[in-house]
Formats: sequence, structure tokens, C-alpha cells
Amino acid sequence: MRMGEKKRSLMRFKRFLPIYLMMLPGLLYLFINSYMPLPGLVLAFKNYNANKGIYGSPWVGFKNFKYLFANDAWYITRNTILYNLAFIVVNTCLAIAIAIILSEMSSKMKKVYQSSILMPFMLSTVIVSYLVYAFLGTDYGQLNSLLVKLGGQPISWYVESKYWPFILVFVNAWKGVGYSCIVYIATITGFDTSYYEAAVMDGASKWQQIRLITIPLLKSTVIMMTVLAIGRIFYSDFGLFYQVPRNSGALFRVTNTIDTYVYRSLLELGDINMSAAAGFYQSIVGFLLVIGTNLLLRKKDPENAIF
Amino acid sequence: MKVKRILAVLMSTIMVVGMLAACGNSGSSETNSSASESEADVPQSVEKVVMGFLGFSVPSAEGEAAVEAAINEITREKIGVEVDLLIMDGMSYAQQMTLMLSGNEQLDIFNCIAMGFTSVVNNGYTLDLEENNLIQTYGAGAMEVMADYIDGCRFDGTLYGIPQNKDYASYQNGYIIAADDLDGIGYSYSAAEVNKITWDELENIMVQLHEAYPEKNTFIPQRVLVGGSIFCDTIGNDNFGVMMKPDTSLEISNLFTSPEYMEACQRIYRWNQMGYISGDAMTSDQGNTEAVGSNAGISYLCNIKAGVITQESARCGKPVVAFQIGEVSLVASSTASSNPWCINSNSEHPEAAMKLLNAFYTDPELANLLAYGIKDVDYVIAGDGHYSFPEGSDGKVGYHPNISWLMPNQFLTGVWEGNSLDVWEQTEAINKSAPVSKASGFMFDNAELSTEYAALTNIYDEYRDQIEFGFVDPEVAIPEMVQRMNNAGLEAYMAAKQQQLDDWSKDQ
Repeated sequence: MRMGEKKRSLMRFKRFLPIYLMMLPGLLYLFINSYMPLPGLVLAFKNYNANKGIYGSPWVGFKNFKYLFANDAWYITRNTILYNLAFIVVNTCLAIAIAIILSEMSSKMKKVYQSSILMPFMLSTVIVSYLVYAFLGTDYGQLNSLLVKLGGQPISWYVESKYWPFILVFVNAWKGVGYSCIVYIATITGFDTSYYEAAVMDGASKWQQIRLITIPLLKSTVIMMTVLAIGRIFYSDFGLFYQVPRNSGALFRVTNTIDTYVYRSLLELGDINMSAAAGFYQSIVGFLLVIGTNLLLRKKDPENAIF
Repeated sequence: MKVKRILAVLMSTIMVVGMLAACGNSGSSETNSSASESEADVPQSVEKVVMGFLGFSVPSAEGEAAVEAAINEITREKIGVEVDLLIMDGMSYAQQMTLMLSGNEQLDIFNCIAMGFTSVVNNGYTLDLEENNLIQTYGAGAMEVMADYIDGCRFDGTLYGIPQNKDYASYQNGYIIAADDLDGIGYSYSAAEVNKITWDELENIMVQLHEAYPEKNTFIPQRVLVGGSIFCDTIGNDNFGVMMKPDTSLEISNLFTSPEYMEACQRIYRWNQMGYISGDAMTSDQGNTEAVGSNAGISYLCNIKAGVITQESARCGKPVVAFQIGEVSLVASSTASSNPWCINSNSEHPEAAMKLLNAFYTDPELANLLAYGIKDVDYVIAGDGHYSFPEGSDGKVGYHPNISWLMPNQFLTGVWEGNSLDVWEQTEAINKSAPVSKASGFMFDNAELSTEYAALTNIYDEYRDQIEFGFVDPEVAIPEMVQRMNNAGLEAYMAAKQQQLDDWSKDQ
């Protein structure tokens, strides 16, 4: 019997050999780029000296982490988490809505709309920051000109911090929804149309079909995307929080996230250890959150858990 | 079918080759110089050093190669050293340099501009120049030229860099105003000399300019308020704890609670209220010289040094007039260590590097080659001795890094047109006449206070533009900022500075 098993696994290996070979470049890239640098995480706990190298430099314990939790720095964690939660909720809802609408269109119109909705994602955030500036500039911005024409007073957008949570959520949605809806469009096109035919025969309206068929079927995709997003909850899009508010000090309380805070603090210091500590903090916490969420899922909804 | 098979085989080959190709070439360096071609016939006794610095306009590859060849002709014979110049532009300089310093690429001499001398030293990139008497043996000339300032590059007693010879002192509260706008209001001024006026006269001029040109921004603020208006020594290159009476007392006090700071900020606030400053000043990234040059702005704050009129007129692209209020100037403790020349601690040719640096500090021919390029190609000498661009070149030549103040010894180089021929003597005179900070040569090590520094930097960044560009009432905003800074550890930071300063002065 063992001979037979061996032969079968050998045959299977031979059959899948081309696929394994195709995986090789990707695996190599993943290994070199993501796994080999992992030991460098120790830099977060050391005081790096170029002469001694990474492993020769002295240990300093948690000293490099202190600046992230200082008296004045708690607001950056608050900002990062709240913005990411807002992004997850808003982007998911919008992406699903757009995916459902697009899936109802003829394929010609679908292509046009999909490309134009995807286009903002391709823009660099620096360009986006200038586009926003064109609207929100104090002297020459479009919004202020409009306000003045309507008889109101121009607003100094880059000084008033109360508008910025909405502006940033809006800009992030505008930029990212085209990309996120691709996954949902692909999933929706893969649905079995017999569900819908049966529903039409039972007299269901469009809205009922969406609510009772499409959305429940999308559940596993949504869960997967959300868990992945939770893994990145301590990260933020640097361009969005640094470039779009044009580095305006008055807005720091609402636009400073962990990434921008680290950047601003260390621009002069150039301290590798402190930035390594920030990266460590973000990635480890994200990792723990993903594992934790997955455990929760396994208890509540086992077939949708990721691993 | 056949085509599909061929295509499949082709693509899989490409994939495999691509993977293997990456394995082969790891570690190839990106030396971008053409001097590598001339390596073939370099005799054993000549050492090659790589020298990197920043250039406001990066030379063309041929221009740079020609200058290297000319320099090498002289240095090969005199000191047995050849050089490979790496001139990069401002945007990527700091990152490129850091990569080269922390990697294994050859880099022997470099300038600390944009990187911060303190952080470069703390990261272990710089060589101790007195190790094995390196500078005493091979750099005696440089030591002599920079004798007054070289101690400014000592960190904890060890010498890590050599400062450049440049204007160490300048007059504060200098205002540059576009000449054509002054003509427009009929104000008479001296075009070639610095006009000394009072605050009231300046305010008068500003009012008239604003009335005459309401669509232009009368004043363009930039982040120079502290250095440009306030007589103090910012120890350690940050504003958290400064010496308010640097020539007489070693006491460190809080800049932000000082009456001078409040006065300067109130003035800017008043100007902002009167409409001199654009509402977009905080978010615009148009520099002050650009604004004046494009006729969007009229004036800005600028330190007055010898040759400032020529320099600023060139930067603005049109004639400007310099005004100065008050006579105060200072040689600060950190000026010497702002952009020193250093040798890489991993350099394999420290003696050759030292010899070459020494040559640039002492040999006028080499100094001119490094600063201006090749005679009659990159510049010409007029009858009266002024240097300028060749006829018809329109300012575009192969080699003109336009950064003569970064050169090791710019006093050896020629005088560019527009400056009076004795500009170097004038600069030396100002240098010598200015009061010297008692903390000259002191470097503050803030490695233990990085938490406080990170928090303080963020708070200062938050309030800085609002206060120093006049967008909020300083009477309200400054106390608020100081309160938050105190919560973040400002007092501890200042106490540490005072402690280090006192300890250092005991050893003097």
C-alpha cells in the first residue's frame, strides 16, 4: 500500500510541477522582500550604530517606543484608528453599492464607468493634494469663489480643523472606491443567476433581490476584505494625511496620524531606531488584531474565517 | 497551436531567466560617474577618492567629467590623488548620502548639508579627524584657514568635520524689496548699497506699497523669523531653549516666552491684519524669491551679508533693494557645524581624502575648478576681474553647481559679477567684527531626550506657521503653545541643555 501512495503523490507532484514552477518567482520575491528582513525588527530595541552593524549595536529595551506614547501623542493613535474605522465602513458600503449598480449595466457602459471610477486611484496623492488645493485654496479656490458669489464669507479651509475629518474621508473614498469595488464586481459576476431567476419568478423587486440575495452572498468577501483592512488599522496613507492637508500646522490635531507624526519627529533626528520602533508597533499590533479577529470569526462563523 | 506552445516556452524561459538574473547582479553599485572609464590606466600609487556634495544646479555628465579631469591633472601630480565627484540635487541628497554611508559603496568625502551634523555623527558615519594625527599631518593647511571656527565641529571633544569658510555673521532684520515696486511708489533708494532705515520708515514703505499694489502680496513670510529677527543663539539647531544674550551669558532661556519673540510675532500679526500677507501663506509652497520674481509678491525677510544684493537679485530674477534695520549680528555656536565637510568613517583612503580636502582649502586653482568649473568653458573672466557666464551661454553651462558658500574655501575663488571685487574682504571683516557666541564649539547631544524632542517638534510645527506668519493673535497662541510644550517636557529639555553647556564650558 505504501508503494501505491508514494507513486500517487509522485504523480501528483509531476502533474502540478508547472504550477509550482510558476509560483517560484512570486515566492522568491515574498521571501526576499518580506521574510528576510524580519530579523531587522530587532532594530526597534537597539541603538543602531553604523560601525557596529545591526547585530553589534547595543540593546536599549523599550526606550525607542516612548515617544509614541508620550503625554501629547495619544491623539495620533486616536486619529489613526478612528480614520481607519471610518474608511472601512464608508469604503465598503460605497464599494458594494457601486459594484451592485455596475453589475446591472450593459457591458459597454460598465467598462466606461469602471475605468473612470478607477482613474482617481491611479493618481499620485501629491497630485490629489493639488486638486484639493484648487478647491480649498483661500484666495483662489473654487469653493471660496462659490461662497463669495452666493454672498457668504470665504473660509480658511486649511486653518479650520473641524471640516477635515469629512474632507479626508471624502477624498479617500473618491480615490479608493474604484479599486475596492473591483473585488466585489468580480464576486457578483460569479454568482449563480438561477437565484435571481427564482426570485423574479417569486415576484421579488430589485431592491428585495439586492437585499436578500446579493448582499448575503457577498458576506464572505466582505468579511475577508474587512479582516485584511483591520490588519492595517494602525497604518495610514502617508500621502493622504501629509500632502492633502498641505502640512498645515493648524490641522495637526485632526490630521496627524502615527505615520505623519513619526515623519515629522524624525525628519531632523534621523533616528533609525525610533522609526523602526514605530513600524514594529504598527505591524505587530495589526498582526495581533488579525489573529484575534480570525479567532472570533472561527467561533461565530467558522466557514468565513480566513484560516 | 504551435504558436501557443512557442509562446508558453518563451514566457517560462523569461520567467526563469528573470529570477536567476536577479541572483547574479546583487550588489552592483550605482556609480554614475564617467571617470570609471579612465580607471584602466591608473597607476598603483594614485588613490581614487569619491567626493559627494549638493549642487543647486546639477552639472551635466560631460561638464562634471571635464572638471574631474582638470582637477585630477593637478592633484595626481601634487598629491597622488584622483577624485570622482558626485554632485546631487537637493531633493534626493540626504537620502542618497545616507544610503551610501550605511551601505558599502565607496564614499570618502561628503558634506553634511541637509543631513544634520549631529545625526550624522551620532549614526557613526564620520571619521575622527584627529585619529592617528590625520588632520595634523595631511590637513595642516585646512586647519590653519579655519582656525577660528574649526572647534565648532567638535563633538564631545572629538573633531568630526571641517567647517567651510563663509559668512559667519550677518545682519539681522534685513528686508529685501523689489526695485520696480519701490520705483512705483516713488521711493528713492540706493541700488548698490544696503539702505539703513528705521522700523517706522519700513512700516511707512509697507503701507505705501500695499496701497499702490493691493493685488500683490506685500510681504512673503517664510520660516526665518527666529534666525532673521531675533538676536539669540539657537543651541543645538533647535529652538527649544536658546541663549538670549549669547555674547555675554551662558544662560539658556525659553525663546517663546521672551519679549523679543512676542514683539516679532506681534509685528507679523499686525502686518497680516493689514492685509500684507496672502491667506494661502501657510499652505503655499511658492518660495519668497519665486513670488517676487513672478510679481506676485514684493518683499521678504533676509539676513544681510556681503553680496546679498547680487545673490537675491539673481534668485529673484530681477533687481531688488536691501534694507537693514539695526546693526545686530552674531556668530552663532552652530554656524560652524551647519554644513561641515567630513570623511566617511568606513573610507579606505582616509589619508588621500584628507590630502584632497586640504588641497581644496589651500589651492586657489582647485578651489575655482570645484566652485565654477573650467575657465572659458563654464565661466569667463572679464577685464576687471569679475567672473561671469560666457557670452551667449544664457547661464546654461556644463558645470555650475551654484553653491559657492558650501565650498571648502570660497574666499579663494573668483568674485562673480554683481558683487564688488572686495566682497571676500568685506565678509571677513564682518566675520571678525561680529560678537561671537560664548557657546561657540558646543554641540548639544539630544539622544537621551528624543521623546521630548519628538513631541516638542510636533507641537512647534503645529503652531509655528500660524504664529510666525501672523494668522493668530500671539497674545493668545503663544501662551497656549508654551503650555503644551511644558506638558511635553520643555523644561526637562532646557535643563539638559543648560547642564551640558555648563559642563562643556568648565572644560574650556
